[in-house]
Amino acid sequence: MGVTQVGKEVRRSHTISRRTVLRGTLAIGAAALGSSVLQACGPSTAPSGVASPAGSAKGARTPSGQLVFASRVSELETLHPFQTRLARAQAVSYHINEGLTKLSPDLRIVPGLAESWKVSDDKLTYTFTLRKNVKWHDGQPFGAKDVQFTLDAAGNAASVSPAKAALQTYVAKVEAQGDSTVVITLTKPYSPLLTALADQLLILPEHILRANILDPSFAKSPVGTGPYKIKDRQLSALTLEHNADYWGDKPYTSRIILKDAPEAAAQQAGILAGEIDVAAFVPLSMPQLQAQGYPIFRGVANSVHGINLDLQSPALQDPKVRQALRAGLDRARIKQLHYTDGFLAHAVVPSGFEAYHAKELAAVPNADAAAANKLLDDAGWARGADGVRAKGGQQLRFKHYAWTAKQWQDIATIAQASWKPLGIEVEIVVTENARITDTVSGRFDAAPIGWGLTSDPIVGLDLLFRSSDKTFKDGTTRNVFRYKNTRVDSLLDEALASADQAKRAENAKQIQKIVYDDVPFIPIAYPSYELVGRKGVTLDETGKGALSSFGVGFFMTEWRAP
Amino acid sequence: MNRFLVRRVIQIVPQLAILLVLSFALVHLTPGETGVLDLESADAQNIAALREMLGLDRPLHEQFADWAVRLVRLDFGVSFIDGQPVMDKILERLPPTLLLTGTALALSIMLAIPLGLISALRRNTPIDYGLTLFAFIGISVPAFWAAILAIITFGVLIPVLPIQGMRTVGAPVASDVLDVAKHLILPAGILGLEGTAALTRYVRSSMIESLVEDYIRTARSKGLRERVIVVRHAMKNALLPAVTILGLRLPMLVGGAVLIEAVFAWPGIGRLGLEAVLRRDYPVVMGLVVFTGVLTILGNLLADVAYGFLDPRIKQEA
Repeated sequence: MGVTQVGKEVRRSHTISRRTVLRGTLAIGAAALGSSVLQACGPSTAPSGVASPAGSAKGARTPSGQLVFASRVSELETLHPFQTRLARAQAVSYHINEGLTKLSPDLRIVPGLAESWKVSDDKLTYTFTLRKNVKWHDGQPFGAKDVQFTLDAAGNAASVSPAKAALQTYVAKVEAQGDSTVVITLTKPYSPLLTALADQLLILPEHILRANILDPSFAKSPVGTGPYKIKDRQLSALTLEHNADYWGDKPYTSRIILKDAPEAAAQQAGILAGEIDVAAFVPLSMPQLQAQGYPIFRGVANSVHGINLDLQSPALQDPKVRQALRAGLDRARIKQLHYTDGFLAHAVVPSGFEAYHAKELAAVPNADAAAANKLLDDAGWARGADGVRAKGGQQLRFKHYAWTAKQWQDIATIAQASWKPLGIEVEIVVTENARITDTVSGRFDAAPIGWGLTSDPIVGLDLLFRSSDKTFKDGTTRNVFRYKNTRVDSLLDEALASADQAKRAENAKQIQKIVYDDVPFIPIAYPSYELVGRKGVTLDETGKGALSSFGVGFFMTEWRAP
Repeated sequence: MNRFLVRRVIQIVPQLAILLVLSFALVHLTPGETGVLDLESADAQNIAALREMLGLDRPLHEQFADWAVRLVRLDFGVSFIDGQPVMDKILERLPPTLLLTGTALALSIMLAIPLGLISALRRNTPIDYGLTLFAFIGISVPAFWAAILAIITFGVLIPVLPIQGMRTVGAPVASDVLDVAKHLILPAGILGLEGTAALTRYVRSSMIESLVEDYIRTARSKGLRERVIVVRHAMKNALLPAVTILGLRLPMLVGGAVLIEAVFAWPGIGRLGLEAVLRRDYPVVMGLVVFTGVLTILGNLLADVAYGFLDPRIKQEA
């Protein structure tokens, strides 16, 4: 097997797969909760690219000092943007190679290697004007040929780029015009392109990779245009040095060391001993460190954990029943047990995606048995002799799956206890983790899953809620609920075509409301993750995104050494 | 002797076959996920790549044969996670692991043999009790916990030793050897002490057994000096079981010390394996199982051959 095979089946991705393990970026603590995958950017509101470059408002910075981040260096063995699959590696890669667009620390799309762009009225032609006088780390000039080279390579048949499927589906042609103009022609309108250009399609140097796009020495030590370049690589540390010729705002810290420190207690000792400047670990030791004056940085992860319902299961076909389940569930108890520093979830899109998150859904009482009973009574589900409600011969009895970790079993147990007084009988089936995909690809009634969202929430909603006859196992959909709603489908179509952020956000909110009423999924919590710094370490507050979504690894430029 | 060797070498064949079957089965039997499913995870790609690598659509024996043939050519495939050749990843991490486990093993041997002998010779004295207590503590205390205590003690309270990694990063270092040696003290020390504890007990008990043998009494009655009796007669025999124990520790030598490597961020094979398992990076997992398995089988062969030299009875039985 070869390298290329890994990506052969790249799904419709156009978001990154850093989610696989943002549990990475430093986030051991979050990993304990499952995931803290990236969350991301609200895509561009500025199709014409008038927004200022990331952070330029802050004025000139003079990089100084050194920061040591606890990391897992084994995850950084390849930093080739086509090959990185893990959050930490993608985060590092993002500082070395750059896209035509970039994400600002407050998660907007801002100009990157393209200083501006225009979208044609039919939304099919994107014309990018490239920044001039940008140099690769080796001193060679950057130009339109690099962009064409990268996008062509990412979209061709042998590509292992995470954006391959999106390019093949939506991009008809990439054309360099002169040195500083690139025109991308689409087959149909596809607004997530601007997000993909920021975080997936990082531009590669044609002059180095012409012969072999996956050059192994480049993968170890890539050459980019970004704010940091690779200075030194060891088995247990990777050292980045700021790029003195960087076209944009300089980072605060001149040298960043990603030091291998996989174990939580050792990370804590590393902080105490001064060997590590920033680390993430289990929340238990956080209060103690905070009391000692160590700065704590806390953010919401971009995943939503909750109970998935199989809409074709006989006991769950009535939406009133599903609404009653949601109303009666003691979510606060689950949050208290397993998402202590997380946030109670109501909408599917986590609150970190500020523009897209339907926060108006939040005003619902927790564990509202009265409301749940009323819903069931009104819908004609009457209690039988055994206390279990039934209607037309169908009893409200079903299975609730749980996976091997205690977290999922506790969710099932609390659900069972919440629903029993309502006249709903739940049988808990504990299944090993290895069976998750198979289980939720078949009939499962109810099952807890945490979903890590994509960097463009529209894409995440599309994967979860677009009508589909495929199963989860097929890989092209995450609609395990067998949910079908033509209104949701058309809202998704509109949002995928529109480059207008307000329009997309509006559609996302509407979808969340429809889904809220139809209840294929009962949201429980958005996990959080936390980082602790050595005394004196600061994070630029405008860099909210540095914590809330991509994790600490993204926007390393915003951290400041003591 | 030659017959013994030949027979012992032939035994390797079924051992290797079982190893290959097991590591193949390992991947077929243990797919896995966590309860958090990423909307855009690499899982499906991995599954597709795994299918292709193993040719899951073909009969099992064909898949196995193909895989085994590739292994013989030392083609372990590439990592699902970063696309790097598995063999490169293993070889890159072998030296740190050998350094760590080798040092620890050497430390164990150097400490355990004298301590065990002293314990046996001074049986039921305060020295023996003290050493026994040490051994029991060493056996009972989990190494990772001792490691964390050591980190807190020597890294935080009395900050005299580096606590993470194998080299100082970011600061100019006068001598690389000295730097690595400093980083080696805590992990190798903890690992070595853990090994010492158990080995001391083995040496002690087998020495005590030897000391009551008839030939020792005979040696004493011949009027040999106590020193000669202990060193030449008793110890030589007493150390045979210790060789067996050392043979059993060989897997660790190449397999790495998973917990200690994790706590001290030592870039060894144990870490590689642990992380590959956690990320379901099957080519790496399979590669490691086969690699360490083969080295272990060879190590045991060497131990047996050494045993044959040390104890002529073993050759005769063969």
